[in-house]
Amino acid sequence: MMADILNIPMLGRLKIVETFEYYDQPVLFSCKNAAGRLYLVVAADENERNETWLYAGVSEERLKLIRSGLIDLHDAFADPEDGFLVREIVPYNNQTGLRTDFVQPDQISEDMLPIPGERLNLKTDTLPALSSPEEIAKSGRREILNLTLNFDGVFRTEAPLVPLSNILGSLQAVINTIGTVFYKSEQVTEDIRREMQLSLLGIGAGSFDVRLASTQIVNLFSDIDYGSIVGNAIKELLNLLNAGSDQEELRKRLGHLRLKVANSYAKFLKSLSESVADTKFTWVSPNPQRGGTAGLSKLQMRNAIEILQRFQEEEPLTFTITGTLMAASLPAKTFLLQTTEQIYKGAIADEALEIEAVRTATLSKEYTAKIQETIQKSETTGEISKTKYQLLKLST
Amino acid sequence: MWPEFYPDNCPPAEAEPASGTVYRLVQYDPAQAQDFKTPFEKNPGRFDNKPTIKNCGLSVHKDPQDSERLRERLKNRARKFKNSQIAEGRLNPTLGMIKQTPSLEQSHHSLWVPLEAEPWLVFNIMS
Repeated sequence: MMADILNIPMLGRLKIVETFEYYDQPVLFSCKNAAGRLYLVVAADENERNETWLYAGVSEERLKLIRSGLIDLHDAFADPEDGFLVREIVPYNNQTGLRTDFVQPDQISEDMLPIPGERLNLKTDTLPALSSPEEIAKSGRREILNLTLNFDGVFRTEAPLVPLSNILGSLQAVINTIGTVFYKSEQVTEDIRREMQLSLLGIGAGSFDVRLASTQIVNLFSDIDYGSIVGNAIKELLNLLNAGSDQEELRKRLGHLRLKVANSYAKFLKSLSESVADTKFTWVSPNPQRGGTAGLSKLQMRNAIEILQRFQEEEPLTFTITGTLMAASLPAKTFLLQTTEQIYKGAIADEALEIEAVRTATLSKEYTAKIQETIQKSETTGEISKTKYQLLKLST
Repeated sequence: MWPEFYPDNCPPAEAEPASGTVYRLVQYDPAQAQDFKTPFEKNPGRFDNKPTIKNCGLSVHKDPQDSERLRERLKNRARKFKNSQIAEGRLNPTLGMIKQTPSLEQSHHSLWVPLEAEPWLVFNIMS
């Protein structure tokens, strides 16, 4: 039996679709069988006796992500969609047929795989064509957020540019701001901006549907279990949207997100309410256990904006935390308390100085503290310029 | 005189007499005949015993950086290339015909070598 790497009984007769790397022969290429099944193939090893080739079954969407460089060549083989690879050992001795077996990626030596970070980076049309968000989320390992925007007075699948850009810009801003809570950061840093970044994948009919996806791919080995950060931010956003214009629900859901999220969320709702009659959000995650939907009418948006403004202007947010007292000065009326999530540093309120637990507070000891959070806005831009914390109460 | 196993249309009509300086990944120092065996010669069964223009050609680069980039990628992937080195050779028409056949590396060329030629003698390992 003759050995032909494009004629493998288990895979069918294959035809090369595109050769990515060539040295004396194709060493990295995509191919397709008669049924249309795609494979990415790499020459993994060669010695005096045989050649070893690895085949990873790929969907069209995933191949586009590999081709464009979003998924590196290492992960294309180390983390295949099918969960396994086909290994072909092709002997030089013509009398012996090739050997085919299915292997788990962890059975393949790392030095047979492309190195992590090796990318094709070829210009690729990555717009999805009629594929379901579930398929893209799974094959691309990306968080997908679909927005259905019903623009006022628009009856075609079109969107006015300025309102649309305001909506998308303020959506990214609120995701970034929620990200600062997860990263325990006072501001949106470059790292947070990069991690939280959403990309526009496509638009479609159904009022006006906008499909967004996390720019970063979800790490199969860690993010799937604990949730990607951007996925967690989308989840929090959906929680806020589902609170609608219910004051108590909004207060509850904003509780751990801090007041600065309220400001950013209010701006997002304002951009929506100015041009959209109603809206629906659908989140699809690579993790099938995660995802959700939310929707708001224009009336709900306007009511929610009023409530959020009241929160910010009239009711400084108070919340209770438990953490370790790291520093305190009664003469200077300052404190520094560290929880597992964040460091709170600020002033001790005059009334708190009357409390026995405050006067006798011991450093490095764990306390439950009531904290008031206030924000300062820039007079020119209206943006939050500083978040201040005040210790109201302390107990053991 | 071309090797007997070359198909009728090989080298292709667009190929030109070999000339200029090219670079090739080799296993031996100094380069040896084994470094210049065509894929078909090495493993005809792998090609169902059917020689083609492609599997009778040898890969060379006109730009040494392309060879270096390819070597860096391949040496981490295919163990055969772990100890490969880049050899520089100045071609002349007695060494065959050459044609640009770009891959990821734009300077990739295919070289078809006549039966009597000994290209390894003009290739030197780069320091």
